[in-house]
Parts: sequence; structure tokens; C-alpha cells
Amino acid sequence: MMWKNDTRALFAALALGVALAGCSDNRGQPSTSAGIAGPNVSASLDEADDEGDDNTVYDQTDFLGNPLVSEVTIVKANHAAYNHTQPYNTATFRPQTEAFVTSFGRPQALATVIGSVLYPDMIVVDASKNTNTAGWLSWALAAGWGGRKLSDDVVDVALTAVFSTLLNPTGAFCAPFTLPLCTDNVNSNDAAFSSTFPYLASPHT
Amino acid sequence: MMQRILKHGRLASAIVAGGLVAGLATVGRLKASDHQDTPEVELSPRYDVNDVYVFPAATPGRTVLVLGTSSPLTPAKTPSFTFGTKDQELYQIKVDNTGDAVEDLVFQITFSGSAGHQRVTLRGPVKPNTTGPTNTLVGGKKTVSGPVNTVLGSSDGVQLFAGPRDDPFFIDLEQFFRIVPDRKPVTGPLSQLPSTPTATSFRAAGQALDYVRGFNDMAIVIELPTSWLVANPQHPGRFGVWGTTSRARGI
Repeated sequence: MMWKNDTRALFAALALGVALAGCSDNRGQPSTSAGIAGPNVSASLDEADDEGDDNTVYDQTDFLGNPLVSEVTIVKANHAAYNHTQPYNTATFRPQTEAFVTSFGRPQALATVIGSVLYPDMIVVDASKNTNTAGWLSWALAAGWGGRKLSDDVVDVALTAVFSTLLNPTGAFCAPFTLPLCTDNVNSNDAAFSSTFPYLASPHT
Repeated sequence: MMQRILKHGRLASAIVAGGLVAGLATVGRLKASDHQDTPEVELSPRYDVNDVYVFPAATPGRTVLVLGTSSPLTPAKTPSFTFGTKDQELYQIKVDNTGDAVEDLVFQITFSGSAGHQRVTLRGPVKPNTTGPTNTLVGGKKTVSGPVNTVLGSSDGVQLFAGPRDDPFFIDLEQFFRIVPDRKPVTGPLSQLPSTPTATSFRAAGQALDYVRGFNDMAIVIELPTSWLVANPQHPGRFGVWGTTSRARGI
């Protein structure tokens, strides 16, 4: 059965606060696919460009796992440090996220639940679950695939998590996904997503 | 006016404390979930990661990974859509499938050529040379390559698309700044909103507007068998995904 309202229904899973569990080794390695030559480009030039200087060292400039986490809950002064970290180091930022929740007068218990599902900061998928249960943070449900779908209303989920009664009634500002502050009432994208690869809508021209 | 929405003053203090609303507003130019949040990426928009998505593909047993980049969001009619080239920039999607939040697999995406004639190369999923924020290319192990704006690869292996697409994010950012105007940006259309609160709530359904309607971003989309992402294909378990951009050292 498809989940109604995508992440909204699944978001109740936050209350469970399931942490990311480890997995076993023995990962499969993929085979490769043939390259496809394109028009209007010199193949020889491309090959030279692609194969040349593989000794280049790249230093990370930006990093993003879960939507809104660093942008919303980490103080601005720490964004540069956050952008240069990796998920295994993001736990050091979790107290800031929890303090941000409690700064609204919301209880620490709520902050702990939110922190437990957002850190380490990466989009978690539980591939053992039914893909019909996919949605941001749904992996925290026993039956959730997780991930983040294009249609997920992550803004409303974030507003509801922090301001609403859903996860904790103490000090709540509104009912889940309702005005004044628990929804922005923009519940879908302006352009329809495609049901086939590459899924994102064509660019605006 | 703010007091009307600030039950017991909680939100007011929260704003001072830099809470969610302030945090969202801090995005300032937030037109996706993570935009221009530091001067470094603001000054180098091609290095800006906007959004990361992971979702089941239309074909059972396959998974889609999306890395949305480049800001300020690429408006329609922008004359040249370009990705940072390999001599400048490395785009990566990283995957932890052993539960330690350290990447076990990486997808490394590089570009060559100039605007209108760019080509994309994907290496991975493959074990990285090094984990963490300093990386090198896993040399010579191309998975897919070809022109941008083209569906590349095979539908039973790795598929790749790189190019401008509609930005998939949605938010009523204008109303947001009407509620909390002190965090509105200093430039652009949103900077013209009143400097004192003129709203105490988000707008009603039917009146709310998606501020990023009509915007594009530079998207990298990869689809592949889910079994290639998990630690044990016989017993698929959890994996975590994040996206990064990196600058070539020395430029």
C-alpha cells in the first residue's frame, strides 16, 4: 500500500528514534557500462581531458546529507566547518541541533528524538524494507525504506517536527502540518516529476 | 504583531537564539535546502550543493541518487549552463554501507569542455582511494561518459544524466520573510519586502506560492541496482548517502 501524504504519515516514525545500525561486509561490485560518445565534441580532446592528471588532490568545499539540518539548525558561524566535515564527524554538531529545538521552549526529549534520527548526517535507506515506504526519515519506522523522494515536503516535516504536537505536545505551536507555523502550504513542486529516468522535470526555458 | 504568533514569547526568544525560523532565513538566499550558506560557496556557486535525494527507481530493484548543485539557482533563460570542470572541481555522492558513517563507496563525477559542449564522466560506485574530505580520482575506472543533457549508460547497469533541470525543491520563502523580515536577504527581490512583520502565519492553501517555481539547478542523476549499494546483496541492509563538492588544490 502506498503511503498517503508521503513523509507526513511516515514522520510519526521519528518518535521511535531508531539509530542507524551497522551492516556486514561483502559488498557487491558493479560492472561497468560502455561510454556513449556525444556530438559536437572532439573525442580525442575529451579523452585527454578525462584521463589526464589523475593525481589532482581535491579538497571538500560543500557537504550535504539530510535537508535543512546544517542550514537550519547549525549556527551560521559553524557552517564553514560543517561543510568541510563528513558524516562520521557530524555528531559533534548534534548538541547544536538539539539546542536549537529547545530554544523554542520545546522539551529536551523532543530534541533528543530529532537528534537521534538526523545524526550522523546522511540520508539513510533501509534496503530491506518495502520501497513503497520510501520517504525522508521513514527508515526510523520498522517498515520504512527511508531515503528522500523528490516529492517529500521536507519543509513541512521540519516545521512540524519542531513546532507541532506530533512528536511531543509540550510547548507546541500548532497541530501537525497546519497553520500558523507547521506548514508553509506549498506541498508540491511547481513542475511535475517524471516517472522515468532522470525523473526531475525538464528545465525552465 | 509578532506576539500574535509568539505564544508566550517563545518564538521571539527563539528568533533571537537563532532558531528554526532564523535558521531558515539565514539561508537568506535559500532556494533549496542548503544554499549559499558560507561565503566560500556563495562566491563559488558551482561548488554549492543544493539538495541530495535517494529514492526507489521506477524499475524494481534499482535506486536513484540525485545531486543538485549550483546557486544562485539557475534562472530560466540563463545563457550558459555549466558544471565546474575537472581541473577545477570534483562532484561526489558517497555511500556508507557498514554503519560507521564513513564512505565505503563513492560516485565521482567530473566534467570537461565549455558551456554547451560539456561532457560528463562517472567513476563508481567504487571504493575510494581515501575517505574523508580530501580525495583523489580513482584513476582510469570510468563507468559512464558522454555528453551532458543526455541519458547515458544502460538501463540494467548504471544510468547517468547531468544537466540543467527544474529545481525540485519547494517553499513559500516570500511569506517566510513576511513573518520574519529581519532575516530577509539584502539583495534581490526578497530584499524589497517590508522590514517590519506583515504576517503572522504562513499563507492559506491556494494563496501560498512556491518561491522557487520556475528555477532550475544543475542536476546529476544516477540510477543503478540497489544491490550495488548495499554491503551484502544477499541480505540488503541500511546504507547512508551524502553529496559533496571539492575544489582542485592549487586553483
